[in-house]
Amino acid sequence: MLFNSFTYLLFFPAVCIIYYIIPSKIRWLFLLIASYFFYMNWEPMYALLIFFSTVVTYFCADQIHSSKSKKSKKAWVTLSVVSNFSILFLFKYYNFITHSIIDLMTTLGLRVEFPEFKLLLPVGISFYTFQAVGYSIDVYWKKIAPEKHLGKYALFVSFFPQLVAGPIERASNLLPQFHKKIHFDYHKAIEGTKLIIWGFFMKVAVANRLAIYVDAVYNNAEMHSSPSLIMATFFFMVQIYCDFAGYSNIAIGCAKILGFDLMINFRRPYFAKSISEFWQRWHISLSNWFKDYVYIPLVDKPGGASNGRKVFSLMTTFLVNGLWHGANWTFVVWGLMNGVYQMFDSVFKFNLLKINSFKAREAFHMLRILILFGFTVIFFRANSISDAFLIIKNMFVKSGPLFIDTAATFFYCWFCTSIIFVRDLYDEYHFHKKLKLKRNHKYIWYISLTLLILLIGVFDSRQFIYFQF
Amino acid sequence: MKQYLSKIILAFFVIVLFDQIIGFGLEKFYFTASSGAIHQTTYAIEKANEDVLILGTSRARYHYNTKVIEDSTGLSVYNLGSNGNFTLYQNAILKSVTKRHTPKAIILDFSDNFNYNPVEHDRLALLLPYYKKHPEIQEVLSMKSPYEKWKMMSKIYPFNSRISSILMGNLELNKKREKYKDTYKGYKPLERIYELEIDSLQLPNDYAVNDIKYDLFKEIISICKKKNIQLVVVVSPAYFLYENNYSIELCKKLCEDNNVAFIDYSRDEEYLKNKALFADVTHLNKTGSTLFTSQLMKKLKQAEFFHNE
Repeated sequence: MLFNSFTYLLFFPAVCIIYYIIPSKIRWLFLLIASYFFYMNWEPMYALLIFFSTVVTYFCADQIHSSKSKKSKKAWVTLSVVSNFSILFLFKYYNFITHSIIDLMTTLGLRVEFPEFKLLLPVGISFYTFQAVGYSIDVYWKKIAPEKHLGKYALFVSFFPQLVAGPIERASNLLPQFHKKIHFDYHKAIEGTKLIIWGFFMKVAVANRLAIYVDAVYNNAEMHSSPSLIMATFFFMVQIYCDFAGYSNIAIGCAKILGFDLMINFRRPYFAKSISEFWQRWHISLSNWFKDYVYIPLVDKPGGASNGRKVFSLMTTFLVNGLWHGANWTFVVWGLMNGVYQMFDSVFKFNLLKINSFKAREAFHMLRILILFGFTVIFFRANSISDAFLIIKNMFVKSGPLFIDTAATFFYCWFCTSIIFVRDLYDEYHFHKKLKLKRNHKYIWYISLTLLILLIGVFDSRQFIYFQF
Repeated sequence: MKQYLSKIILAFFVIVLFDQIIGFGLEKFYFTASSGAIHQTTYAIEKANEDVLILGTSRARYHYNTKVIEDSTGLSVYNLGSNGNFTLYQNAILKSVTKRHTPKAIILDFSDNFNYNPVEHDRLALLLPYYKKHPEIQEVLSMKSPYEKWKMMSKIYPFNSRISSILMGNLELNKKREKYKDTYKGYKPLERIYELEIDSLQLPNDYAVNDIKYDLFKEIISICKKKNIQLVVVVSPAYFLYENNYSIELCKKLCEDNNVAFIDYSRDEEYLKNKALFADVTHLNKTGSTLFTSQLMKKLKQAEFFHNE
């Protein structure tokens, strides 16, 4: 079930009504059933994978906690991590790795064969796997005690607002909320409704609209000139932000109406002034996951890590981050490029330019981050590595007119992008303090957004980009 | 909870009110458009009464010079080709046209395939403004989504993303611009010339045929047969080479089985050797379309296709 589907517009209010009518003791059970129903709308059989992941991590966490020796604790956590990642590997990476080996061997004149698995990638597998694995590790590190209630733990792994595209929650944040008695909170519900409307606008009116232009250019990259490629790349940067942040906002908003607080996943990333800051604003739940469970364990050495070790840890983290996004060499390059940026920014404190004016310095660094990230998203969106290099080359050498599919599409693209920019600017620089908007103004704003969604939203079968991960 | 629900209900009513007002305005101006794509769709569904109608995608719209056909046959002609709209759309348009008018002949430009493509269902949104007035369209639109009739409770929804087209369609300037561009009875010539060398495309040898789409194509044939409309299915020229084209093979077989004329220009060397006739890989330019239409008319006349002339 997609958030931007008519089915979800019926599903979610129905869930809310029943949730607040039934006794609070059985609400967790109702949410668990609703979550599995939500997931089974795609492919019912794949719910077994979530169930397997839930049971394995629950059981292993219990064993980790009750084991006396360090060795057996380690064995249980290893079992939990390996079994979860094995499923992820089989569904997501097996074909990519075997094909890459076959290609390499063929280049060397050798012939190898592997059995082929034609498996449909289960929606959101990377998200719930990471959430469940994070829980096991937290129990192993004694950051949290294991959850005793299997049902509530199963709800933690499968909670429908964030099940298929995050935010990747931490057990320490979400699990305790399932134990609290939830009362309807007016302010939370209003806040949640606002987030849902804004999320829908980001996804339906902006991301889906921009995707029309981006797809037209990137799917025929060799045909397009420099201005078109630059424009499409810029639009893709906005598209991917609105697609994913839009999903996160809807997820957080839905959870808020149900009385739960999920973590913030995006904080106006294109206003970042350094690479490190960018990753504290972009896909925060995943960045923190990699920081806590990959980077810190790699770099954390008694007496501090050398620059070499820092570089190795950073590059490994970003390589894995890239691979998390997809089983394709384009994502490997995307990850490595971001790793290199981060390396120059934080390890070597590389600074190109010293600017005295504070505002000019801020503007310069924002632009720098935009351009640097812009180059990485070429690899993120391109259909292949060769396409990505062709796009970069043509961006500099291929002259020609700007591709405008229809003037209307182009106008809508810019109109919607401007709304996103103004809203982010408003939030980033706290204009609400200066403008002192009345409650009615906000009411008008959200009603206008809803009407804009109806007027210019793109209601097609497009899925959220991050569903593929 | 009460406070929240009252706010939500109030907001809902405000949105419904504005939806009805804005939607009313959009509907009014939609149907007064006298140029552009929406005018063409309205004309196809509600007015087209010419002897010869051309159905197809952008390849139909840009390839069939209606003036050449009129001059060559003496029959009235209209080009109903619509960019990016394949069998599903063409089936709906044909049903609407034949409900009130029986053309003498239909030229169907085939550039489709018979596999499932969700985008085609999305594109049926073009027909939403006609949903209420034209029950024959509802059947095809229900393929877009089973909830379509619920969504149609919104007055804005059928005109989603159409504001600019509605504005343009009502501008006298746009009408003049279309005349300047030699647009004539639905035919829209492309002026540019393709510059790249010919490429070879790897098309799939076979694929899972989508039964719904296949049946809708067959229905186009059966409607024509039932109404005694002369039908010719044409694959117009494209600037690429290919070894096999499963879609064309299937279409050809379907035409042969139903005794429908089928003409394939996709391997015609006169076009494949002359990129100056193309605007891009899949579209002929003005020179190419005029040459192609003349050649097609010659062929059809020889075959006494327009026996009702």
